[in-house]
Amino acid sequence: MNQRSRQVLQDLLATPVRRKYFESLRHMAGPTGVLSIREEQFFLVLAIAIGILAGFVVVCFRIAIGWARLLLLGGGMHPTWPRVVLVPAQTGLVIAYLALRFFPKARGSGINQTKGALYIYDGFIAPATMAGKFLLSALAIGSGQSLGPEDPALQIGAGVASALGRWLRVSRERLRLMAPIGAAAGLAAAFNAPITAVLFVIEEIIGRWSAGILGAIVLSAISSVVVERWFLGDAPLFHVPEYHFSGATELLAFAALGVAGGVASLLFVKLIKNLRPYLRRQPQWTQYLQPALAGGIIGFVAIRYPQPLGAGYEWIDLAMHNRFAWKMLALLAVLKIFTTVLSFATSTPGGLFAPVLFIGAMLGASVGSYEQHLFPYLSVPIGAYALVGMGALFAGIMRAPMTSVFMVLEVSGNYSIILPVMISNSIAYVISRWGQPTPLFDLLSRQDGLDLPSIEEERENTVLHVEDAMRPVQGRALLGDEPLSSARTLVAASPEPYLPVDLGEGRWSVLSREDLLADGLDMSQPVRTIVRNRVPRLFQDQTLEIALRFVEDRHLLPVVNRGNLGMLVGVVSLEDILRAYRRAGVTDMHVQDG
Amino acid sequence: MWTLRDWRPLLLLALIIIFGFSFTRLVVGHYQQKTALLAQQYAAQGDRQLAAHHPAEAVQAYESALAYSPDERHIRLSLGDALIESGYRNEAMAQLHNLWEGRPDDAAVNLKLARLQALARQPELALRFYRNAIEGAWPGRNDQAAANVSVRLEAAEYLISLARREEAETVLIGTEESMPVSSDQQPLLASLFLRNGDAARAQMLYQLLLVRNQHDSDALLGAARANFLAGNYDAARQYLARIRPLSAPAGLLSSELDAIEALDPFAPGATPRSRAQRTISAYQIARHRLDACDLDKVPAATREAANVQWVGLRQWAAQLDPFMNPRKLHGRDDVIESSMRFAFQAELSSNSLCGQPSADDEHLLQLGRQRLGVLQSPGGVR
Repeated sequence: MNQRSRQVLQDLLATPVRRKYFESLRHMAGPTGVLSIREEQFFLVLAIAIGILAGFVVVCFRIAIGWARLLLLGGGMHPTWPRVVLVPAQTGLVIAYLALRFFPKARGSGINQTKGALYIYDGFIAPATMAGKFLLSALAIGSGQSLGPEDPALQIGAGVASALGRWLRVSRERLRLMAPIGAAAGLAAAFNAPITAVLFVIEEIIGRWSAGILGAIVLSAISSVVVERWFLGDAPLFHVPEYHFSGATELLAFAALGVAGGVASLLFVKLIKNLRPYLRRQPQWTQYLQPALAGGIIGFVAIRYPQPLGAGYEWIDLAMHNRFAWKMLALLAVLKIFTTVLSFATSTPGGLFAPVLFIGAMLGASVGSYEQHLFPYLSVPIGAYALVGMGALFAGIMRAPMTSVFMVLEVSGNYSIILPVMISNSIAYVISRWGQPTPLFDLLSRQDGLDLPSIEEERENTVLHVEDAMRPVQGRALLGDEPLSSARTLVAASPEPYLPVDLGEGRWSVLSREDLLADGLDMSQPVRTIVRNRVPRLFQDQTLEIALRFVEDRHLLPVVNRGNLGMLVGVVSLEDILRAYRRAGVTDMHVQDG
Repeated sequence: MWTLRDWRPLLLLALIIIFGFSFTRLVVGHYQQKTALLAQQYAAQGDRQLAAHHPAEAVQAYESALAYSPDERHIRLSLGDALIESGYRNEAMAQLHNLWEGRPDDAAVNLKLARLQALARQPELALRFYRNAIEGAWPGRNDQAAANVSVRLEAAEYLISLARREEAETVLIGTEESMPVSSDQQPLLASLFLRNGDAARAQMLYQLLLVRNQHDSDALLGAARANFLAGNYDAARQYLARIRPLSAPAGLLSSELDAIEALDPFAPGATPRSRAQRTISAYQIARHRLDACDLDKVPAATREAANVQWVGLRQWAAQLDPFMNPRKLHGRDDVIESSMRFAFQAELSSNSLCGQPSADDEHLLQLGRQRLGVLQSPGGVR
């Protein structure tokens, strides 16, 4: 560095703030000038890039669906009958051929495939799968198959993330995590709801709360929504009428909706559970015809009732504004269940997210209209029932209760609705769980021969804590400062082979009887002179998993009070932990039926 | 620590993002152009169908337009109109409420909601929306003042139909102040003043209209009615005489005028003799109506109250009866006034309980309404 450069550098570093900034830059650049940042930091930057790219692709995907719909079914919401009869069936043939010959992994919704990428394929999603999903889902939804764009968008987003991660050669561990980051971005852009996307990915894809990845998921979801709103505007999916909670009687009405939602969820899941494997058992050549057959049946339904065609968001909006009588709404809910089951069970590419919302909205509005017919003093707008119905069906079918509540809040932007939503969703969820213990997506993955983790099962698992395994100490703990002579007296009176030693200031160790009774010890010396290692302390409320991590080859660990680290509450050993697991029968927990 | 030794992938990533942005913009722009065109086409189709009185087809067209352009307020407003025409009032109401939530000061939306609430017999809600419409704005309209006057007149008409005269009068006076003298709505305003019983303001407005065109037969008829309502029978006749040729409504008014004047002891220029005779005629018509009424045909629920009322009216008639000759009524304005009050009250009570009134009874009722505001006096006229 020459004299002038040194002078410039000194000027730059003249203030502490500047000095700190330039030191951090120098640290990033490293001694060789290459970019040298922590991988976690780079990962966050990458999450934003994933969000932006997934946003672009999903916006194009939504436009592709729009174009497909325009070209195949025409511009109106009531297509002419020759079109609705011919187009879904003929396009179904094309889709089946392309899916079976070129894009076999693009079939289905895309959620389990993304989950599979995370847990089985180290985050790998083939570009061909992503392209196939884009093309075939756009064709299927645009031609009127009763499916939605959200789940495919989720898989497309995951595909974008996977491709980017492999291209930038991030570590294998990080690559695995990129699929859910992209999935959140894809779903957020498709549904225009970042909170819902983040929660859904955590509940359904990752299957557990993971603080390490949460920041990246949030960043990617927000980035993709910013992109989506930039291009498509920030108009909400539905124009939800205003709702104000006005009394406990309303809650009974919403509870009734929860029951209806639970029953409808059960019907939907049971139909898919039985029809999908039945169709898959049929000869291979029939697989080429199944989507066409589904399309043909949907087409015939659509001659009279065009509402079940495609995702159907425009009809949800109309239903929210009292457009249909309760009988018509109920009929539309039933027709949508029927047509969606047909489309999905025939493995036509497309998602369940939108159809579930459609069924929920129609059912909710129907129940609401009927209740208002019976009890005219109920002044809840039909839109509120439709909204709560969506949440109830989502909780019952997708079995993602947190997402279902936040989805309704995010879509409506109205917090008055939270109580009805929670009541209705809980009832629907409980009924669905009671009638169908295995959630839909777990069921689908098991039908496909995969066993992917699920957050619902994790919730069911018994979580054991240190207090379940610990036992009290016979006598008292030794003190680090007490003389060895006093310690020996205590050891002689105690049956314990190992004794905890309080070294002060929250530090602990463990000594064996042999250590204390060994010959040649100076009895006037304090106990701490023969302590070799400190041991970690535990708290009662920590899980046994943490205790197992610490116990290693140690004979004993002290359990202390969080408010007073010198107060011994009990001790725990490896044997104690294993005994606690055996007592709880946790070792048998993974044996489950499909 | 993780190092990225090559800057080129990051550069390429930035280029991909730029390319992605441009490509997406191109794709979205093209699609949005197409959907905007489709929305326009379907909205126009809806307008055509609505104009041709095919509301069901109009609804379908507007729904299709909204699928492409869900935030277009005017399409949603038109859909509301089509739904109303199709008989789907609740659906229309929900659509309009949604628009209202988005912009509560939109006068057009408030006006439509007011009309729907009026049809649903919800007067308080209807009036609330009428008030909002009066105070609201008309986005996208150049004739804001004219639109505002129209809403005021409609609200006043609704108030008159509800017999809320004072509120109607307030609205009408406000309209008069904000309405230009040359406005086409002046005749309507005058007729509303007249319907609301404010003959003086109506007369003033009709005179203004006649200054502009002294042969305006509608204004002449209106002025005649206003004078008739105020009891200026001669002035009313003068206006009627200026209508050439005499129209059917003018002829009807003329004969009505003669019949009612023959029962009106308070008419300007009436001699003491004619006042006494008119009072006796009115008393006899009312007495006859009272005597002819068969209270056994009155519904059981109201019969008891009617009997009590009849006893009171008969006692009142008995007190007046000795005065019913021209000599005794001479100079007794107090008795004349009491007799006319009795006559109006008897006609009013009989009108709701004793079936179809005769022509004389109707004239007496009309006179009562004009002169004493019987209808507006809930406690009766005694």
